[in-house]
Amino acid sequence: MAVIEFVKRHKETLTAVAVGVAMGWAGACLACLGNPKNTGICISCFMENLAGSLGLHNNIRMDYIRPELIGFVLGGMAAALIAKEFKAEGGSSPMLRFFAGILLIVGCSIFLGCPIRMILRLANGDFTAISAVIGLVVGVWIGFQFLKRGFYLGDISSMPFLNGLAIPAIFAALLLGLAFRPDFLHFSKVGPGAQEAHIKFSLGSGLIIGFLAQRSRFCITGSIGNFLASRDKKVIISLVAFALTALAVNLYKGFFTPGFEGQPGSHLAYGWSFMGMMLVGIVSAMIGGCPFRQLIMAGQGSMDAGAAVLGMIAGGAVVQAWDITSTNMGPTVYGEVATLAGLSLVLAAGLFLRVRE
Amino acid sequence: MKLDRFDFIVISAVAVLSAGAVFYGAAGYGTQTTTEAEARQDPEIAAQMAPKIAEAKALMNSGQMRQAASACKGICLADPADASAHALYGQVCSRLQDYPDAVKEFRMCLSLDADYADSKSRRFIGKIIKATIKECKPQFMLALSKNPNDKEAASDMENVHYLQRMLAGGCD
Repeated sequence: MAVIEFVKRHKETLTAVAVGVAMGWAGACLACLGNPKNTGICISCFMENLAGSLGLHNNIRMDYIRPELIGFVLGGMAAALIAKEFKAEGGSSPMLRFFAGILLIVGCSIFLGCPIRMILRLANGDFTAISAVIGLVVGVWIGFQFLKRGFYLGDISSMPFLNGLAIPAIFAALLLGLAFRPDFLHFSKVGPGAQEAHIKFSLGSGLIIGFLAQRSRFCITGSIGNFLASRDKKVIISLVAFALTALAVNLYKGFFTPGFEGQPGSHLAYGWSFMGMMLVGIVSAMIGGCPFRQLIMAGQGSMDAGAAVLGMIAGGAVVQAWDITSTNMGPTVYGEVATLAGLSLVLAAGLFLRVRE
Repeated sequence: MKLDRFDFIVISAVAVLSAGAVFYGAAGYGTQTTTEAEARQDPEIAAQMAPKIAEAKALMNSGQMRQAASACKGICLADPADASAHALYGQVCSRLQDYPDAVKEFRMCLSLDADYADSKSRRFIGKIIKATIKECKPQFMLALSKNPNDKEAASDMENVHYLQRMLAGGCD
């Protein structure tokens, strides 16, 4: 009885810890089971894979439909339907959110990873990710300064129910594409796109994480922002659980290799990692969630998050096709220009979208 | 519309970032490092080089390392975008214990074609590169510890770190 009472009283905290543990465990295990090293879960890498699989870029090493992505969306949708929180709504600057989705992937591709992979890289001992952590925190802080000063993307209104099903339906169709592999979809034979954990494990962990994340409102940038705003330690409990679980799994499996040199999928351009993640932080704060959170919200019927998800797929294509994404040698010239231009655009947009009294 | 202090800070930041984007674009235009995507081999030159590479490989296998090195050097000069020539040259240099050139050639090879670092690919030479790194890294580190300003040793170590990152995998 006491246990049930405890669970009831701390339901929210326990859900937050559960999603953090599930994500840390799955993130570390997926890399052990076949996903690229340090890339058990990475929304930006997976979006680049997805764009490649759909034939939107020509890097034959980055083509795959990651079942984890499908799991996140459908798991989020299932949780929202069960909790009667599935609402088809939108209309809050969808086009701007589409471009925000592109910029999210641009920022991530400069650092080589989304905020989730940033934590997974740190948990693997990749200290090159430290500059990105600082960049993300600074970015979220800047984004919150805009929100505090009246940044507003417009009202959200209800939409016909079918609208909310659009993004989940697209991802369900992708699951069919993954299962039957028709000729028009591309799948890598070599490179990161060919490194995959078993589909059952990938999809299963995606569904569980998606479900729990919808219930706990898990969001990397949201947690950081709320912590900065309220100093409430509860809001970052899932982040801490995530990092510690991934660290524990890596230590147990012997994959913890601390250092700056020779880390998988990394580079030593710390300044650009900082800038890239700062861009991600600002954009995420402005549109109300990190890339992962956008997927979950799209699953629960948000058309605005759906626009951001479509933007992320387009971003995955753009960063690969235009050589914006960094390599092991560091960022490309196009990547540097895209980061600076992206930051400039976001700040300018923030200025124009302030509602003044 | 009345602008406040926050607006002026943001406007200044936008101006600096925009100028930075233009500056980086202008300064970096045309200086993109050679990547797999850009360094597409000329098929005609590649066809011409194929028998020469086979010849160099035969020289290496028969233990005539100096001749093999000379042949590889010629091929790499004639067709710098040929990853297989750089891979072979790297192996020859490694056997000759010319480690600085070996890591340089391996780096060139992997930057042109990442399949050479991919264990799923038939081109995979990761084990050879790892063995070379095991041999040469302590030497480079020793050189750097004796003289931290040794630019050549620093460059060699940079190449080693690049190779380690490539061999470690990851998604990029």
